[in-house]
Amino acid sequence: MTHARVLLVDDEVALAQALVRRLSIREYRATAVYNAADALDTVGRDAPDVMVIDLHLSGMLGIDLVRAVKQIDPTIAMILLSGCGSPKTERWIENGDILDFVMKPVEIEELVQKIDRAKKEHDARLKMKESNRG
Amino acid sequence: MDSAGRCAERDCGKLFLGILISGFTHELRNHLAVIRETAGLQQDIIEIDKAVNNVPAMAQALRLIDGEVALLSRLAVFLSRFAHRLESDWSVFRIQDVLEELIALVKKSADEQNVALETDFAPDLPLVAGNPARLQMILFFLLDEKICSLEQGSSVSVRIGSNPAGTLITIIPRGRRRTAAPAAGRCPQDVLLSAAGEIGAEISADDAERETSILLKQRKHAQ
Repeated sequence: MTHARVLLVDDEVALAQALVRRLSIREYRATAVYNAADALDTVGRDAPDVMVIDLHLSGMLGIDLVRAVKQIDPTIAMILLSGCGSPKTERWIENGDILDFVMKPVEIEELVQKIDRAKKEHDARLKMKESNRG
Repeated sequence: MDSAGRCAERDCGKLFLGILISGFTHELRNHLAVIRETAGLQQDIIEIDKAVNNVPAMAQALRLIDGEVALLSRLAVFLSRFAHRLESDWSVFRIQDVLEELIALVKKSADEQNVALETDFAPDLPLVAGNPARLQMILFFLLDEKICSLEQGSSVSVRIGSNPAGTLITIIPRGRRRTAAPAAGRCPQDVLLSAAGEIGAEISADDAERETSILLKQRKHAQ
């Protein structure tokens, strides 16, 4: 399996940049944007395999961005990132809104594992989409 | 205040404490996350990338960590001061400290809703004597209601001034009111008015301007 193309969305610029570098060192093709509008723009132009989205973005809740991304490209697998747990997280996973959830401060190995799982999920969704088309 | 009123105020007090603890700890975790990732990145650079000669980048990372530790310390001081004030029914305190801490508490929620927070504190404000626990709760809910009622791109200004009657805090929303804004804040208005009455404060709302003022009447206190 090739490494996932990851788009990280977090308004905490220093954190997002450090995570992108840490993922890049591990050979993931990672980029970051710092607000929901830029995230939607990137997804429209060059959709990633996996998105890691902060739950508390300026101007938009991360879960609302998740739902907006699904409208554009339902194959993207999404992971929410947050400094606090949310009682709604389990429901979002159950509903299929998100694939998984990671707490800040991040354990990098945990994030990497979840990104790998998300990449597999993305590939499966893509295959299904293509077979439905065919 | 009757027993139903006391119950309602107690419920608002618990809600306030919950929001206070979750808000501050959320911010503390965010700063810890930046420190952890910045330190982790340096470790990755040394252990995986084997690129140990980029001294300027490492110095920049150390400066970033230092800055985050300073922000963490500031938040810890705020939380500690704020919580200590909640312990007592009566004390003498600086009202500008209370507002500064409250603004740090609601900043994340204001940022999420894209509402700017502004302050205008008069210099040489007198110390305030009274019940800080109740006052902090009242001010929080008034500020929270204003932030939650505004559309994105708006602002809320907090002004503190003093006059012979006492210290006047004015919360001024600027911008359009959200069409879906709830009619009332998270703590009912009658509970806030009653709690204000208990501590000798007066809340007045200017419906036309949508601003709210709280007058803390001057009391004699030991300096």
